Amino acid sequence: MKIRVSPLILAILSASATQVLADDDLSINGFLSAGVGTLSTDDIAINGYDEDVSFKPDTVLGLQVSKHIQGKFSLTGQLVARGPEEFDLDAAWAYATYDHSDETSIRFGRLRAPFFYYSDFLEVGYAYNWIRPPAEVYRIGFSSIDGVDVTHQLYFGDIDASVQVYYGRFDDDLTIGGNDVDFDLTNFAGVVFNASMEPFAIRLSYHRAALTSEALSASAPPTDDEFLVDEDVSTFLESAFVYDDGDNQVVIELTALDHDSASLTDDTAFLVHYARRMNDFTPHITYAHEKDDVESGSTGDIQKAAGLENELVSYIAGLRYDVETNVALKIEAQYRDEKTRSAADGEDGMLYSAAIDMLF
Amino acid sequence: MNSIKQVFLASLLGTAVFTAQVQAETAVIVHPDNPSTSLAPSEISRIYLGKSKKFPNGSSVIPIDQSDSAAIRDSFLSSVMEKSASQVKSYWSKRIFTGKGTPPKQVASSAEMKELVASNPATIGYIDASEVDASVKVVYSY
Repeated sequence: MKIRVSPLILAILSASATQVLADDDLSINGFLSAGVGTLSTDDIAINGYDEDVSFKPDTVLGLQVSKHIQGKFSLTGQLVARGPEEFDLDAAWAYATYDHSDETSIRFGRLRAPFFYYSDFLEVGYAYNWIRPPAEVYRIGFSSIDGVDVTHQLYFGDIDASVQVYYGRFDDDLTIGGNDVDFDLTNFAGVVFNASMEPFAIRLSYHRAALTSEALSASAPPTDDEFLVDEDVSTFLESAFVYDDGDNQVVIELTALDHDSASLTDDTAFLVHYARRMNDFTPHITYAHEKDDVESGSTGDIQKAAGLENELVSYIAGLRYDVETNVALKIEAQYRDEKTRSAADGEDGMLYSAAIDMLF
Repeated sequence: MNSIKQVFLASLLGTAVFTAQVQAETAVIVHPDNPSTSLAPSEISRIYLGKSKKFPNGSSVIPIDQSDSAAIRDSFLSSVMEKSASQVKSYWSKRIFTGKGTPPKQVASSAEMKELVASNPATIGYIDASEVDASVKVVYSY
């Protein structure tokens, strides 16, 4: 194609325009969610709430800085302070980006582990309808890993697609039943495929890691090697199907977790979410279900004796109200039915919660 | 007969002029040296959502947006992008906090928008059609 302007003039013009738009380079954004909630009974456990009114569990502040450094390099950092962690600062994201082309970019550093449909903006309450994603499905105890990923975007006709491949490691303590337990997930790798053709979107992902835990291995029954947690492979499969025509939104997410070590139970979990946007109001309903699959035979008997079997069901009804373009108010009622808790009959109860989500 | 014809013609012209005024309320503009002669709403939408970083001819594009409070923005979002302001906000909140991009820069007025587009061949913007002059080129209007 012939361009009347010489490349030199174009370059000069672009350079001067870049100066005009120079503040494009540094962007500072943030989000805040302030939440409150109470359980109808202390017999159940959801997100750290109890019978008394609590403000900490759903309260989170995030601050993000992005800076284009030079050429194809940029950096992004997202610091998050969470109520349940006494607002200690944690880097959810901290990575360098190399934009190989408009379609392909490489990120290196601390990244969100892209397990779920909502993983990338897990703590940005404003970006979804719930006060928090249902814990039945969003049940993995950590959300960031250290590593590298490559994302490639594709576009054909009306279809937008992307493929993300990552490799990294997670090495930290996780709190299980009030105790800190060491986890080292090595050769942690996964692939995420996204495609959307409005109003439909689909997400498929596969993740695997070799899991080692000294604390879990130490508590394993000495008679059974299957309970050791020593470079045992764990895999996670996820798929999400979304329909969003602007007025109606349906999200279905299906997941399956599989552990080679018997110290951790395999499970499956899914959710079905429907929301109806009516101007500034968005009422929504959700069904979420998680079920552990204990092993067969004597291994399964030991798992049950150790109380490793759970089955949880939740029904959630909520209302989101977009007060301003950057402010959303939410109220939610969640009925949790513990079909099985620690391999015994569970309890049931309600969680009532409210939150305000803001962006800046 | 003649007078009837004239009345008919006049009313037809009147309708045409009226229609033209209503339809040409907003003009999507680029620099006059930009080789693009027209853009489809879907192409404009992809540029403003940060999904396309280039004009169809392959040159880089910098979309410029009107301010949140400008009435012309709401009509641009609904007519060209088929989205509401809060949907666009939600879309960008996801992109921003995953480091996938930042929303287009916003300007305070149509005059500023026109000045910026007239001075930079990489930009695209939108203003009221009545404000279009030779310093910019219209690639889509509605």
